[in-house]
Amino acid sequence: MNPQILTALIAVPLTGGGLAMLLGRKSPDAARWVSLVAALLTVVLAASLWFGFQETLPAAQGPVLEQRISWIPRYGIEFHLALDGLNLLFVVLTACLGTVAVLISWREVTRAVGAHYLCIMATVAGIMGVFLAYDLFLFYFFWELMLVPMYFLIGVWGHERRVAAAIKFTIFTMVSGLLLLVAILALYYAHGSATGNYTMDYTRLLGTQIGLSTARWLFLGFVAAFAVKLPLFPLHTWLPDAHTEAPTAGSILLAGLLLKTGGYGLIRFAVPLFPDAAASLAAPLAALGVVGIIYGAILAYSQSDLKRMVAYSSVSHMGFVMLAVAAWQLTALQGAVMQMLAHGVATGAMFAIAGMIQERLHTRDFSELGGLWSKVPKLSAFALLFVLASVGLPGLGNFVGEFLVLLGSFPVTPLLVAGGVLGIVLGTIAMLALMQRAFYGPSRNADAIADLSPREILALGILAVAAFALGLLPQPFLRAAEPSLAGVVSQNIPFNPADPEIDVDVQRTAGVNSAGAFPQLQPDGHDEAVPPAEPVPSAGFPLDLTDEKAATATGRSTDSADVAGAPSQAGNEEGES
Amino acid sequence: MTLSLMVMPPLISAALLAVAGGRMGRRAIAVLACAAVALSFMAAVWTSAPLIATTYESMSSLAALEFLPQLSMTMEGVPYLQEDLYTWIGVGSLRVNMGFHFDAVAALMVLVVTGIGLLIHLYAAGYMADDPDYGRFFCYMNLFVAAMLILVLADNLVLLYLGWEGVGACSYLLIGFWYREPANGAAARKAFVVTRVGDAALALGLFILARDLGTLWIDEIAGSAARVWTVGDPTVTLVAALLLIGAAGKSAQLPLQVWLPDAMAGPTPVSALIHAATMVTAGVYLIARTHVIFLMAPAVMAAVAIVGTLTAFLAGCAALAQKDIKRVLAYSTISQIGYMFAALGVGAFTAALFHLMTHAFFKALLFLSAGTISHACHGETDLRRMGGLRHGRALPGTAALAAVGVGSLAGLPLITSGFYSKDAILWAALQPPYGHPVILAGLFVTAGLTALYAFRWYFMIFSGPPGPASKAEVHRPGALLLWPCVGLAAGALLAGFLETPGTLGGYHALGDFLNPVFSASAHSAGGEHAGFASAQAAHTAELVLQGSAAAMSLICVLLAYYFFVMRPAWFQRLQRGSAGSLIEALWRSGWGFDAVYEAVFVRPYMALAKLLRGEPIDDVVNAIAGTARVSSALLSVTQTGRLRTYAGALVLGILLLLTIWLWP
Repeated sequence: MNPQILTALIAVPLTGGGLAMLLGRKSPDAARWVSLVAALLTVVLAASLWFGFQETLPAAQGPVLEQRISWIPRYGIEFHLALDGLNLLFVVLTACLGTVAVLISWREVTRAVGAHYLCIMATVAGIMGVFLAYDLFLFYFFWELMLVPMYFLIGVWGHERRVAAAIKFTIFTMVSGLLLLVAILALYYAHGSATGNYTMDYTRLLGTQIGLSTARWLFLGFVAAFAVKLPLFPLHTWLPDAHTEAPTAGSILLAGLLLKTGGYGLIRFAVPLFPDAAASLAAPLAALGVVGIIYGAILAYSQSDLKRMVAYSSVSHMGFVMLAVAAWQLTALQGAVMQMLAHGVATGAMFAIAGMIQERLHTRDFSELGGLWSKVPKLSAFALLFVLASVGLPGLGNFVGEFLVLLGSFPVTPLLVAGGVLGIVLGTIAMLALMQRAFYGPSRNADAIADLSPREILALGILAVAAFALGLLPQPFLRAAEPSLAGVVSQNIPFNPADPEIDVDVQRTAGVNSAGAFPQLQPDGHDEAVPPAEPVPSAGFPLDLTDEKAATATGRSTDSADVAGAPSQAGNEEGES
Repeated sequence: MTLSLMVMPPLISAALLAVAGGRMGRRAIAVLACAAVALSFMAAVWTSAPLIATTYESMSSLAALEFLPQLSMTMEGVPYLQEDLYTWIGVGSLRVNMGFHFDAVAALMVLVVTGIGLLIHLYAAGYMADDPDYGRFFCYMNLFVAAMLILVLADNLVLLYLGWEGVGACSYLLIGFWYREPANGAAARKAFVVTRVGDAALALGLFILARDLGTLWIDEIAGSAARVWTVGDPTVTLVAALLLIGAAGKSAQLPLQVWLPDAMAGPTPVSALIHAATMVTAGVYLIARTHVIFLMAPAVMAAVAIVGTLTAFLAGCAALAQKDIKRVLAYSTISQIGYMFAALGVGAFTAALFHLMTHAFFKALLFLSAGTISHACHGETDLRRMGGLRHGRALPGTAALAAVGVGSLAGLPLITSGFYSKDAILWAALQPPYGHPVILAGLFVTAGLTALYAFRWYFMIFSGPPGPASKAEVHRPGALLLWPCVGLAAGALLAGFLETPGTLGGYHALGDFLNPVFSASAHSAGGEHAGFASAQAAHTAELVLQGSAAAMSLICVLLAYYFFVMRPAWFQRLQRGSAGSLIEALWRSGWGFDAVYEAVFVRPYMALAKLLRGEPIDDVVNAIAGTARVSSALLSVTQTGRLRTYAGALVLGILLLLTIWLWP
């Protein structure tokens, strides 16, 4: 397949947005249609990638499609885009939600329509870039690029307190983004001075040897940026304001896509670049993730604003992603990816529904809502579907995500998983309260309002189909992400904890790989990365089954960093032997 | 394809009703919904036929019929049908299929679910005829049947969990079906959240199983649990305990029983189908399905028995003090499921399932009768305002049907199914190794209570002088309200003869059908399956037990007649006494669990939510912003725009720098 298609994924929405801006002055409708066409074109591109690589992906090691253009050769900076199973999923999600965002804001926005669509499409393009970039400088470029249009979306087309929310959002992301930049530069120089090869290329920077204390700081620099986006408790406070004040399309892009860049960044960059540092900080990060799950659910319950409530439920849902990243097990990471996709769909839909209600009733406050089912049954039925998806009902997408995250993290940190399960119960309380306050009960005002238009049914219908697809047929998505995730976790972790022999073996292999390098991701030749250490033959270790089992039972249950900390352990054992 | 044929019709019908229900006529909706369940029922009969045929010598010729599905056999010789649709979730070496497994236990369950489900659907078609949301109702009902079938047929615990949560969601939707009334919404949410607490425990149990056994396939769990764990291992005990909590949540057992009485807010057919016959027995089914785990954890087996007995007794007391026609039945359901749990806990899995089946018949019958009665009384649900409905032109047919129901519930000897299934449990409660006299005593006393509250209910409705609600002209039930009840009544009378004790013929049709499923795997787990009392058991002991149980129920029926028909005034005096009114208040509130939970969980949580509402974390952020704002204000004071000040500041600055520079 032509690698230009990757650039096209970024260029098409950007061009469409530019055209919309130009045409919007004369005819707002032209701006709408141009954006829709561009968005649909992006969907077609993404779909062609999805179907084109359906066969090759599960077996692929590393990217299946790459595009490199020399950009600033002096500093080793390239325009380097690459596609593998992991980011392909997010590319598809971005294309779909971009289309939904265009459809949703069709009637809502009447002021500066062209500029509005430019902002939407530029955000989409920036997000595409973030997902596809394999060069850290380029990644940072897109990372900041998606921020600017989003700032305008919130600040110009938002609700009552839009300016404050936009500024808060910008400061949070800017500051954390600068920490990311510093960390990228430090990594660049560390790698350059050690190898003589100054490069921003992701694949080459993998496996850079840095002292643990330095690596920890750099890791935190990456985590700062990603944790703000994710958002990780306690860095989440920009989110309720931004989500609530943003126009509907802005909320969908924020919740559906922008948050995912944080999770994606953690999985793609932060942990693989600094595996030892990540392992040493896994326990507190996992704990923060679980605190976020519970805290977000409680706060969601206590809100009186529909959008704020959904925003806090996002905080809760994204805590699962942090938990999975900290646990760093294949199953858990698969779950994290599913959780991000499903959350993008379900929460995107919830924000769309909130926008439709606001458009009709000019309020989001529960004290003025209630009894909507009798007036807008179709809208309410969709709301019910996505509420059930959000509470993790099996058969819908979120269940697969949450279930796999918890299942995969459980062997590593059972107590935190129990906390996550508690969070699901609390999340149920919150989401059912939402259903009750807005849709059930007696109707609060007598005015008749219109039920869904065909355009709205189309937008929500796409998301509903996606929610069912993710929940009932998750296998294509899981299979697509599997090789990339297995690559970053280690080579092939068999999930078979019942067999202590295999279990131990896995830990060792994982440890050796992450302590040394990622052989399967290393480009051939010219990089001086340390060669992978010899895998320790498991036969060399006398395995007392009962002892191992006892260790599994006791050691793991208390220390969440245990397995993630396997690198250092394995290293020690190696030294002793 | 055979097994998905069972699940698909109600699923497709639910989808159709969800999409097009608003545009369909009432008749079309009812026909579609009932036909879907009827199709399921026919598929269930069709797939069960070869299973039944292979069990009994006399029917073995049936098994050879070509149009019947072909069975497979396990190594222990247990017949089953397996159907794998596709890999649902496959990560690493964990494979979770959309796969169905059909054996004798599943057969019993699907026949109950679809058969009784069909009768209740027919009844509902009449009962809900005037409801504006007819389509939505049947959409939820069909969805429920599909989810329940998935729960029962699942070959792995994740798919079972899908059905488990699916029926929970349908229960939530149907309890809150009349959504305009906020109280219904509250009851619905309570049901969903309380059962979800149990589900959370169940999920944790699954995580441990997946971690230590590497599989969630029910058949593999049976085998590998015995390999990985020894009997009484703390891990397997923990797993069993977690599964028990899950089952207790769904089946409304202590301490998670509080949701079921409130769930009566839903339409009566819903109470009959979901909150009596099928969904609430899912916990019993879960324990029976995973009995291998429980047999490896004797402590938890004892806990199951104790929870069941205690629940049966406490709920029996509570049922005695209710004044709402449906709440009596709700507490009665809790109590009867307590019997099933007790049976599970003493290792009598088949007895538990036997009682599950008979209870499904007579309790569905009672609920549907209750629906007919309050329908007839213009929506009245207060027992104290009814009375005399048996007489004259009132409801003679319904009175007879309800009599069959309460008789079976009370376990009137020989003629009712409740007698046989309860008797099997009582007898099993004495059998080693899991039985215990205390369990037997608790269940025996509860049997008396049951007869008492059942006939109190009956007499308050049908005997005595007409109450305020039954004085006026009553609605006579139509055919759709009557005939399904006749079907259920037939079941409530006849189902008991499927399994009779050794003293009364010793006919073991159900035991022969179900036992192979349990004994094969129970043996491999090192546990023992008590089954039904073996033939060589002491006939005298059994006779004594039966005799006293029968006497107990008859005496309590007479007591009920004495208290509520002959001497109601005497009883009311007792009620008004200080001790009497205290006990009545306590029992009517279901032993005050709601108040305790309100104080311990609900209020603190609300307070916490209120406390955090303003987002304390944001205060820190705002403090930083505030600092910036204040310092900006302070510094902007210096921006006066006057040349004098600037010049002065300049000079001062230079002086300051010079001083610092020249300082020795």
